[in-house]
This record gives sequence, structure tokens and C-alpha cells, in this order.
Amino acid sequence: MNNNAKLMSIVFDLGEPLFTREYPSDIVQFQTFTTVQTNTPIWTPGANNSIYLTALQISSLAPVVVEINRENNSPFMSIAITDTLATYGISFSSPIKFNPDEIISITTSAASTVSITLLGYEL
Amino acid sequence: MDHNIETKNYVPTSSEQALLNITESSNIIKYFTLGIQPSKTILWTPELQKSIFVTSVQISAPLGVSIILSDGNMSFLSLKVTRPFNNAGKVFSSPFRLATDNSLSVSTSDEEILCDTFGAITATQVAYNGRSDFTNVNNAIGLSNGTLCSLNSSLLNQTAGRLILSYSMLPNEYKYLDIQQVIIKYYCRLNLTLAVGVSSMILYWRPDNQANWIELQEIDLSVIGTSNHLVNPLEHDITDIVLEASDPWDVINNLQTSFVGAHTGLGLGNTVQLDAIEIEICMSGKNAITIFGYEA
Repeated sequence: MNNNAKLMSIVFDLGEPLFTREYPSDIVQFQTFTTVQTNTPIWTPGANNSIYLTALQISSLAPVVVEINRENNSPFMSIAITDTLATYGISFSSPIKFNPDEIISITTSAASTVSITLLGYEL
Repeated sequence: MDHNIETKNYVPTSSEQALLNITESSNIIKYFTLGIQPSKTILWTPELQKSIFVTSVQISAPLGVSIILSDGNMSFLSLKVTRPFNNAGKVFSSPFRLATDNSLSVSTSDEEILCDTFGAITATQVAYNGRSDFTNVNNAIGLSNGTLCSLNSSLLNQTAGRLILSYSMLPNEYKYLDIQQVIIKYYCRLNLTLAVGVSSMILYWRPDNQANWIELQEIDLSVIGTSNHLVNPLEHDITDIVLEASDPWDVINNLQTSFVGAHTGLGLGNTVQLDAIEIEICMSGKNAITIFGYEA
């Protein structure tokens, strides 16, 4: 038996106590495409779960515009890659919470070798 | 058995800063595409008595632009894209809180306008009044370069002809561009050394190869003289008609221009000449903006 338990009790006398609840990003979705994609699902959460997106990255061999879509394939983010062999990434300090069962999909504007990474967790 | 137990009891005083992060998840995503937007447009209105907390912002833009975000009337963030097809973004480690009940709005400035000029890729002649008398028709292809196709008057017959020019102008990234202006430039000349009958140049265009020709201008001359537009072309702005189409880019992809020349007089020495018909298209970018955050 090897138990490590930590107990931390903090009592505030401030008006509004602030709580931290952090989850590790234990899900990585990674896919690479070489052809034009239209509404290709990248991340389908487990039943009744919501995706919490903490970071994403897109890299491409050729200039391309990648639209990232949510429910009904409606775009929520558009990322333009200008150069050959370019990368764009963003890490969210506050995880982006999607509706339960919402799928993330992508659409690309041109044929290129495009790699996409989505990081996050489901709850 | 090996237990490690730590206990920490701590009561901070109210003057002390609490060293804790909020990591409230951002359950609201606002996505918009916008072109030139000089006035503030509301993107996000919170529920009554609530505030918007912006956790991150991202834009992608096909051309240079400044995108300005405002809390009510107060602007608080300007994101600039200077290179074509690029992104700009900001992740706030501490969410930006707008005033209670204030809407988040957006406007643009410094919009880059991209103008491209195209010459025809094909030129063909069809009969006008039963005649096809233009010579060197292929000289009308391309940009204005001083090479002319000509229609000369003749001794025995009236002469005429109609040139039809086609283009290839659709930009690869047209989905991300808005048409701001379309101008047709006719580089042509009408020269009379003999005053018999009427000599004419008539300028047309049409949105596709099945549509009726739309006449833009007719230049007639019946006295000795010159109407010379080889250096300073006759320009016609067709922006309004193009933008009225259900798909303006479809018009740009299929449009044709036409140039008619005619001499009704008999005798040598009169000429109608065409160097080129250029089309200038000016475009602005269709920007995309995403705002992540929550209300509380």
C-alpha cells in the first residue's frame, strides 16, 4: 500500500472565494490529410459528454484556409496558413466547452498536407 | 504502510491577494465573418444583469486589416494582420470582463484593397451587319501593349465587325474576398481622314456568354478627326451591376467584353483600332473572428 493524500483547507474571509478546478488534457486527436476535406469529424465525444478544448494546432505544407466546425458543421474558427511548411497554434487559458455530444470537424480550402492536433478532455 | 498526509490551514486577511486562478470553462463561442465595417457592430450581447468575460480572441484575414473590439463605446483591443492570409489572436490568462450589460462590438479600419488588372485570354470576331472585317484580331488579347487590331474602311463595301473577348480572372481565394470595384478599360482609337458616312466604335460587356450584350458607350465620327483612347482608355464602372448578381464571382468568372467597329462610308483612309480591353477588379478581405468566453 502506498497512499499519498493531501489535504488543503483554505478559509477565506474575502467576499468571493475563488475556486480552481483544473483537469489534465488527457485526449489528443491528431489527423493528417492530403486532400480537400469537407466537414470531416476530428473529435466525437463519448455519449452525453462535452468536449473541453484546451489547445489546437494546424500545420500545412501549402497555403490553405482551415475552418474548424461545431454542431451542424457551422464554423467557429477560421485559420489561414500563408506560407509553405507553416504552423499555427493556440492554447486556451480557459478551456472551450462545447455542448454535450457536439462534434468538432474541419473543412479545408485547398489540397495540401494538413495536420491538425486537438488537445483537451471530456466531461 | 506508507502514508504521507499534509494538512494546511490558512486564513488570509482581506487585504491579502488570494493566489488562485479561475479556470472557468468558456462555454460561449461567437464566430463571425465581416468585411469592411467602419461602424461598431454588436457581436455579443449578454443576458440581463450579466457581464461578458472574454477568454480569448482570434482573427484570420485574407488581406491586411485592423480589427477593433469594443466594450460598449470603449475600444479595448486592436488586432492587426499585415500579411495576406494570416491570423492574429490573444489568449487572456485573466479573462477580460466587460461592464455589466455591455455588449461586445467590432469594427474594422486600415482595410487593404487589392486591385488586379486582367487582359483577355481569347479574342474572336463575329459578324456585325453581316461583316467580319477586323484584321489582326489576336492583337486584342492581353494587356494594353501597343499592338492593335484594325478595321479599315474600303472602297467598294461598308465594313464592320464585332470582337468578343474572354477572360480568366477568378482568384483562387475568391471565397475569402469581397468585390469592391470592377472597371472595364477600352484602349481604342477612331481615326477619320475622309469625311464620308459615319464611323463608329461601340463598347459592350455581358455577364456570361449567353446573356444579351449591355451597351456602355457609342462613339461616332463623321468629320475628319480622331477620337484617341489608346493611352487614356475609355473607362466604365460596372461594379453595381456585378454586385447585384446573385453570385458576383460567377459574373467575374464568366464575363465577356465586346468591341464593335463600323464604317458606313465608302472610301479608303478611315480606321477603327483596338489595343486591349482590360478589366480591373479591386477586392477587400472577408475576415473571420472568433471570440471565446462566458457570461457571469
